[in-house]
Amino acid sequence: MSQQDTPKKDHRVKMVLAAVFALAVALFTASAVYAGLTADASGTEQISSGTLSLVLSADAPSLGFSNTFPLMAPGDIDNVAVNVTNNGTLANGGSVSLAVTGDGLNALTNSATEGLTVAVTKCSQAWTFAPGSATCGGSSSLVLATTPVQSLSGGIALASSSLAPGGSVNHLLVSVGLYGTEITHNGVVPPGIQGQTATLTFTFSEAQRAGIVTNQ
Amino acid sequence: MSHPPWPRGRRARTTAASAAVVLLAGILAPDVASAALDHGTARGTEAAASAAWGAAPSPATLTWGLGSAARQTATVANTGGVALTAMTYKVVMSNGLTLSTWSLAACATPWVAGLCNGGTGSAVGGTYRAGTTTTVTSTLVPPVGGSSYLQATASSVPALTVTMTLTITVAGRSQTRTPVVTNR
Repeated sequence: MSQQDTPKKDHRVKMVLAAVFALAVALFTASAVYAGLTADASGTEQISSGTLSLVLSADAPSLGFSNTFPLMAPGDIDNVAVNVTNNGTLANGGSVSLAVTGDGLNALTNSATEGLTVAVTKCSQAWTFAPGSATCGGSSSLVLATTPVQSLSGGIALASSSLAPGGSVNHLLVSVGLYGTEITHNGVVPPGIQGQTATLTFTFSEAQRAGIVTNQ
Repeated sequence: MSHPPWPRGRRARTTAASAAVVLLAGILAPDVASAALDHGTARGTEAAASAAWGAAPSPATLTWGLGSAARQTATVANTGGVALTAMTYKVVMSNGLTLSTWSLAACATPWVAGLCNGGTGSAVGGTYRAGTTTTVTSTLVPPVGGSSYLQATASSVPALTVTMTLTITVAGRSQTRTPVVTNR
């Protein structure tokens, strides 16, 4: 390398630095313009969803569901006391409904005139049992009159059964009965309700309350 | 940190489709969950087995004729699994040219020499004549798993054959034991 090349090299370096500086200025200017075009304004809104939670439990001293009543005769009653509790944070839509379905396709559950029936009575406090009877120490009301199981598969609203959220309880006495006038001739059992077995599934359900429009 | 190379060709399309499915599921899942919150439910089950009820006479037909005994007996068995409180007899007497009459009585124990525990038993109806049909209810019933015993007596043995045909009916609600209320 000769001494004469040095000034030329310095000149090229200066030219490159000047170009870089000019480019940097141009980019900075452009970014400033862009920032000006996307100015934001923000706010927050907090939403928490409610819950629906219906809980079924035994209303002591009752054992609750899952029993078997053997050799049921016409007029017999199988009483089960249960608590239906709204453990959710939402009120229900006015009432609790009950659907009853039978797993066996026999006259116990698919006959409109004979077979199993269900009635439900509500008590303001826990039910007490005595041999052959169930007693409500508070105020009681019939929330479902005696109804053939055959008519309950689609569900029916229980009267005065609305539950407030946060643990409100319905003390319900579910009475399963057998209605039968079937006649047996000389010991020959007709095709009907005699000697049959059915398992009933009780489904209590609540619909959420109607939606609310709130202006804030 | 190194990343795996982006797949090419068919593999790339498969990967993209899978990603789309996952994204779609992620978008739809919250909707499904919120729909399920429309209703709260609670379930329980209870089983019931119905009993049978009924009674049957054996034999169901008693016959009188030349040379037969005036007293004839039948056994009534409880064919069901529930106690009875009453049962209804339909007594059909065949036609016959006879002046004979018949009576029917029930006993909780077998008849011995025409007597029910030394007595006459419990009358089932009144007097029966040939060619008649009578329906009568009796409260003397066979116990569950057991029997009661009938004796039909002709006032005189007819020369021609006459039959008494018994049909026993048991109605569910009105002729079975008092209903039981069971608390669980």
